[in-house]
Amino acid sequence: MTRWMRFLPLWIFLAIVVVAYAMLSASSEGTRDTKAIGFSMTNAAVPDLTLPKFEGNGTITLQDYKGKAYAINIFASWCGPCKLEAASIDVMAEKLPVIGINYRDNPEDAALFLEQFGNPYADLARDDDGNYSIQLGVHGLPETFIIAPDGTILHHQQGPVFASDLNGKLGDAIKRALGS
Amino acid sequence: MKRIARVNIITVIMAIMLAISGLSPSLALTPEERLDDPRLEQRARDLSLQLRCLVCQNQSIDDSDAPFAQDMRRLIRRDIEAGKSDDDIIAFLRQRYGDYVLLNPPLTSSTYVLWAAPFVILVLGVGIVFLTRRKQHPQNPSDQENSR
Amino acid sequence: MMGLGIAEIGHFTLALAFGTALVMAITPIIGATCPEHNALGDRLMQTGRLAAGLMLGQIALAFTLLTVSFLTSDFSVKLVASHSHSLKPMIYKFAGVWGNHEGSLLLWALILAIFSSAVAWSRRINPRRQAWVLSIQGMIAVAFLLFLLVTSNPFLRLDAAPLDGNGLNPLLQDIGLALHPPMLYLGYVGLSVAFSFAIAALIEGRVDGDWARQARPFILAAWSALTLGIALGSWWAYYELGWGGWWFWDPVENASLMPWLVATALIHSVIVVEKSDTFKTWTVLLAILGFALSLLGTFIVRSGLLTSVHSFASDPARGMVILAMLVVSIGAPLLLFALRGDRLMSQDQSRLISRETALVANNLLLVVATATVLIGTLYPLALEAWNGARISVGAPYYNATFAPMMGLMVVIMAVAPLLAWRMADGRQVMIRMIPALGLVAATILLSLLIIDDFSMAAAATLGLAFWLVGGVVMDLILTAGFHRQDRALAWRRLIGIPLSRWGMNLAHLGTAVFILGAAGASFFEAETIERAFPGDVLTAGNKTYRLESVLPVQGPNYSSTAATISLLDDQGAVIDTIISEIRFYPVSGTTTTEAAIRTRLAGDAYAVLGDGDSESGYTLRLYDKPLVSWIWGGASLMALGGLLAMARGRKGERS
Repeated sequence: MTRWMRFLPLWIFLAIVVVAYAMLSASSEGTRDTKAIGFSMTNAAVPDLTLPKFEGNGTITLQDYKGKAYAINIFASWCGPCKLEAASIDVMAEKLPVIGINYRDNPEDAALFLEQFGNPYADLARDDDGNYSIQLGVHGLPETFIIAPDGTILHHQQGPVFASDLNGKLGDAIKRALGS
Repeated sequence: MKRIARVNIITVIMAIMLAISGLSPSLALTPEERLDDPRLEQRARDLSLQLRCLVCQNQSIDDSDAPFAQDMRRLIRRDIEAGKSDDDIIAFLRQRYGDYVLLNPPLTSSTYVLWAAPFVILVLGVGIVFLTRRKQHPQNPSDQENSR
Repeated sequence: MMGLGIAEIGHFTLALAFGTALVMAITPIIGATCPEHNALGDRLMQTGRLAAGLMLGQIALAFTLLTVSFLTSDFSVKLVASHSHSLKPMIYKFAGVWGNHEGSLLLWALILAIFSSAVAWSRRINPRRQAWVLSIQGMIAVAFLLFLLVTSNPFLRLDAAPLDGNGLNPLLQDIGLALHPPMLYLGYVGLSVAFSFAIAALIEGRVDGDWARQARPFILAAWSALTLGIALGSWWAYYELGWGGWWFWDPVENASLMPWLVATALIHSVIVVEKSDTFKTWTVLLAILGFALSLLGTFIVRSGLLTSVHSFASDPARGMVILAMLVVSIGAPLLLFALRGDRLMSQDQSRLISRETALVANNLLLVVATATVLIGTLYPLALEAWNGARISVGAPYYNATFAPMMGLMVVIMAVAPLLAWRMADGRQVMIRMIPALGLVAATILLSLLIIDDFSMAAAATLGLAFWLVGGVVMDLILTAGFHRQDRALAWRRLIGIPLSRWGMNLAHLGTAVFILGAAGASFFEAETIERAFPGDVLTAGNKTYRLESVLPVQGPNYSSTAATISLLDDQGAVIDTIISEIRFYPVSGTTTTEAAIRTRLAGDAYAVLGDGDSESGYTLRLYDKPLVSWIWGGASLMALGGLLAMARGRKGERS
């Protein structure tokens, strides 16, 4: 075994250590959401969905909102973090219309939830078995989308909307949606 | 898309990847979800084994009880019955959830190293072995080993 | 108050053990560097041996005291309060001692002390080498005990002892899960001894047959333990997790698989060193690698780095400390290897067709396979740290990369024992393997005819298993001499085959058995999912089930819905009754599903109750799992073979 071959294990090991160090440093900074899958629908076109209304027999078609800036918020009565973000959604609803999608929920429980935490939604739809949400790339609750008039998803929030988000990326997306 | 055999195996010996015949068990499938046509159902199962349950730990959606996994299974079956191809369905999900949803890591610029590494290392290893033996190898031994 | 002072004594004893470990780390080195036959040098080396024994006593005492705290449910001890409960059955109170971070580290230290004492008390190892090995063991012990005392003290007290403990998770009260960590730790620590031997070899600048003979039993013991440990984990997943899966390429599983793969390579490598003058540097490197992966396995899994990069977000300091420890403990030996490895030069006189080549090839395959598993496990984390992209690496990746390599390894494995050392008659070996080839062909033909849903992969797998069986049988035939004239003599010789060779063949046979079990579980399983009402008869594969009743049941600490299911034969008579339950444990608030499993040699009947009610019926998942217990049976045979192989052959015995 020549000299360079004998050093090979050491170099390989040190390379792995450097990678591990980088991983550790990356994790120690930042407040990364462990639930996020690192992929969002941001910059994609919003799918053309027609959802059943929460109450009654009508439907809501996202195409009708083309030309306007709006938001979509996926929530449920059984979802803890949804309660946390209620106040932020109210603030959002003052700026642009928010379509609420009640996900896999019991109508009575959902009604109670809206009574308790307020109903900021311009339109309210329901998704009983997750069919529509999956088209939006939803995998956990709550999730919020900011959509530009041309139908592009400007921001896809996975997890609750906090005040810091309203002042951060989500807020910027709202401004851009309204501005254009 | 390559058909693969059952996910839950450490097949020490699987030399070839081909579609397995016969249903592979799923723990989470409910009777109502299954498609009537057994061939379509088999396609759905094979596809499910390749997709990761996003809210679970390293499980495929075929194996998971989570509601999200159910949603995805239902979506796959609807799309299969509607006539979509496996590639279409995978592309659809990949568009929404990224490469993370695929248990079979796709060959992209991010994963060249991942896929190439085993074979590169094997070749390197063989090379090192040859180099080492060439150095160590003196003249041909003159004595014959006793055969058994 | 009962237990007052026990924890403090335990803590103090651990501190003493730390001091003893320091002595064990330092004095033998000084002794070994003294000139030969120097009285002081001998004394110092002797001190090292005494220190090993003393350290064992101290750590054993500490462990015993912790155990007492658990068994007497002394909730003033923080560990007991967090992980035990008065209602726990005694045996699980005992298992609870190591069912947590601090306790498991203490167990690791205990096993380390036991193995170090084994080295110290061995008469076969010459004093100088023994001194070096003990010294390295001492250093490892120092590091572990320091980590234990500073960051993971098991003897911490609570100011106000709670009335009862927190640890009543039903999932953890399980015999498989209880035995799994100790087995793995036996393996990891055994590899640490091999590691110490390797460092000793680098320092002495010498690897010879004696070194190999002295190191071998430790490596075999480690390998057998690892085999059993991994098998236990897999078996637990099979019956406990309720879906009949037994391997998931989970990062935690991979972390135990990698040392096992290297240990397998190491066993075969060390045998070569014993028999001939080659593979020396390679063996030393493997020993270092094996222990490195064990450390990786122990620490990184315990600290959760593998399951999520972000689990350190709350405490990156701990991660950095562990990383620093790993850099020192692995980097230093690798540097030593780089600098002094040239002293271990071998003379390899073997030709291309020889047992050496076969062993090199399989060693190479095993190491590349290990690298593949390592890459598959770490790649998603590394990629995410690099550019934030998240990907998944699951079974499909390993089936494409790992499996073919192992397949090739099995092909070579069957033939290798038949090859002579240094120069083998290739043609003769091929002729001798014709019966095995015939067996393979017969298997494939039979499966084509008998089995309905035939697949190439299944046939290949079965063929591989029988190829291996053929090789094992042929080796026994040839070693006993059945191919020569005198049959009676051959039978006598068969009995007289050294235990170590029986061990090898048993381990190889166990591998074939494992492969058959894996094939049965993967390719020939049948499943039926249906809604059923009591009285319904359902079939899955060759098994016929009848749902008898679904009733609520009250257990000792749980309430459950229990489905009683009968297994019927062809005529409809009841063969056996099995019960599947969905249990709810009120204290911990958890719900578990208990599968109904009936294990027989030919296969398992496996039934799981799903949800439902008396009106709409109950979802039942019913299975026919042929040969599945052969997976763990095969692994047990492998471990047994490894233990047998520890037996000493006569010196100079060709094996």
